[in-house]
Amino acid sequence: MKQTSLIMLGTRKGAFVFESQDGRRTWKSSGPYFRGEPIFHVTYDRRTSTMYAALANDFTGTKVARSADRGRTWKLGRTPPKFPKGSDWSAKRVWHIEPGHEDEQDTLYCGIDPAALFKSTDRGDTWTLNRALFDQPTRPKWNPGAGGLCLHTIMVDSRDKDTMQVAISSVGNLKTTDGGETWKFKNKNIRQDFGPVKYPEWGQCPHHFARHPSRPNVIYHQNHCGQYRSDDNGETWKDIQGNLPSRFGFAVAVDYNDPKRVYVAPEESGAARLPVGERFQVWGSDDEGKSWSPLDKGLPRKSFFTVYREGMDTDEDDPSGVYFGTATGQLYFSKNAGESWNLVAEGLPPILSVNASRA
Amino acid sequence: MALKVHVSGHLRGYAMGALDMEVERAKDVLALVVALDKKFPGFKDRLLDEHDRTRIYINIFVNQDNARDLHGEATKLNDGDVIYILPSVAGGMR
Repeated sequence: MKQTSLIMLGTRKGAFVFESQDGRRTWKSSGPYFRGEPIFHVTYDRRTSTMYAALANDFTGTKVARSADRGRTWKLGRTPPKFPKGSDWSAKRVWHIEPGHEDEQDTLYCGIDPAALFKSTDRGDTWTLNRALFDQPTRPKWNPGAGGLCLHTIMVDSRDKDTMQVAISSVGNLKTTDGGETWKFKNKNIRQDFGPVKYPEWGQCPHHFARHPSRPNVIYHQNHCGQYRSDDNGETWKDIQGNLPSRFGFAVAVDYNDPKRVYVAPEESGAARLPVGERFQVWGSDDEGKSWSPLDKGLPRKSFFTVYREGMDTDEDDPSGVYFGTATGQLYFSKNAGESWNLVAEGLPPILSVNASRA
Repeated sequence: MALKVHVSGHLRGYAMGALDMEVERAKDVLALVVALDKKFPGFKDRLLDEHDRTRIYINIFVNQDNARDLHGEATKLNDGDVIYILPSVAGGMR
C-alpha cells in the first residue's frame, strides 16, 4: 500500500489538506473545508485513521469535526465542549485537539478558550469538562494573554495515561499524574519578564512545546520569555536561549530522526511580533539547544511574516521534513531537516496550524 | 395556527438548507429553538450557548422586534408570529 504524507492546515478561512504519494516530491491540495470558518487546529489520529478539526466560528460557536476520509467529508460532533450550567463560563473556541493514550483509542482531549480541558471518550461526539482544572483555586486571578485565556497545549504521556501536561497562555504549565484528579503548576526556572516577580509559581506565558517519542522525558518549550528544555518530564526547566537572536517566538518543533535537533522561529519582541532583522529565519540546534544557527536557505532575504504557535511541524521521513505556515498564507517545506526551504503554496488565508503525518 | 420561521444566511446550512418552515406552537423563543433542534440536531448549539443565551452574533426576531429587546429567550410566542433567525452583519477585522 502506498504511503501518503499529509500536511494539514488550519487557517483563518477554513481547513486545507496537502497530500503527497511520491515521497513528498509533489503535493495535491484540497480545501478549504468549512469555507470561511476559522480553524484553529487540524490533526490526524493515526490510531483510528481519523482527521479532526477545531472550528472556532464566532457566529455559531465552537465545534469539533472529524473526517474518516482525510478531509473529503466531515461530520460535526454531536455536542461541542460546554461548561456546566451555573458556571457562567461559555466556550469560545477550541484551540487544540489531542489524541489520547494509545490504549484508549476513542479518547480525545481538547483545550479551549476560556482555559479549560475537555475529554471525549467517543471520538469527539460528546465532551466532559475536567473539573479539577476548572476548579483551580487561582483561576479567579487568571488573566488572558493577547490570544485569549486559551488552553492551547495538551501533552499525553505515552508511558502513563494518568500523566498529562497542559499549558495556558499567561497562566503557565500544569501537570497531573493522577488522570486529571489534581493539577500542579510546573513552571520552575521559567521567567516572567512582564510581571513584578521574575520566577513566580504561575503566571508565565507558555507558547508551544515539542517532545520526541523516543525521549518522553525531554520537552522543548518556547515561552513568551525564552526558550527552555526540561529533562525531567516537565518538572523543571533549563534556559536554552544560548545564541538565539531573541527570547520571543511561538513555534518549536523537534526532528523525528534526531531527537536532539530542535527548531524555533524567533521574533523581534512581544511588542512588535516581527521577524528579527526584518528577515524570517528558522533557527536550529543539533545539541538540544546548547547552540543555534539560522536555517534560511531558500527563504526571502527580506520578510515580515511570522509563524503562529501551531505553525511548525516535522514529519517522520528520513531526512526529516520540516514545515511552517505563515500568518500571511505561505506554506514552506524543507525536505532536508531545515537545510533549505521550498514554497509549497502561497496565497492561502493566514495559517493558524500546521500538522504533518503519515496516513 | 403554527409559527412561521425564516432561517437566513449561513445558518441555513445547519437546518438542512431550509429557508422557511412552519413549527407547531412553542411557548417562547427557547421552546422554539428546542423544537427546531429536534428537527435539525445540533441547531440549538449554533444559536444558543451552553446557558441558553442567544449567541452574540445571532439575532432572533419575533415579528419586527429583536427578542433581545423583549424578554430574550423567554419572549412569549403567539400563534401566527413570524420568527426570523438571522446572523448579524458583523466583523471586518478578519
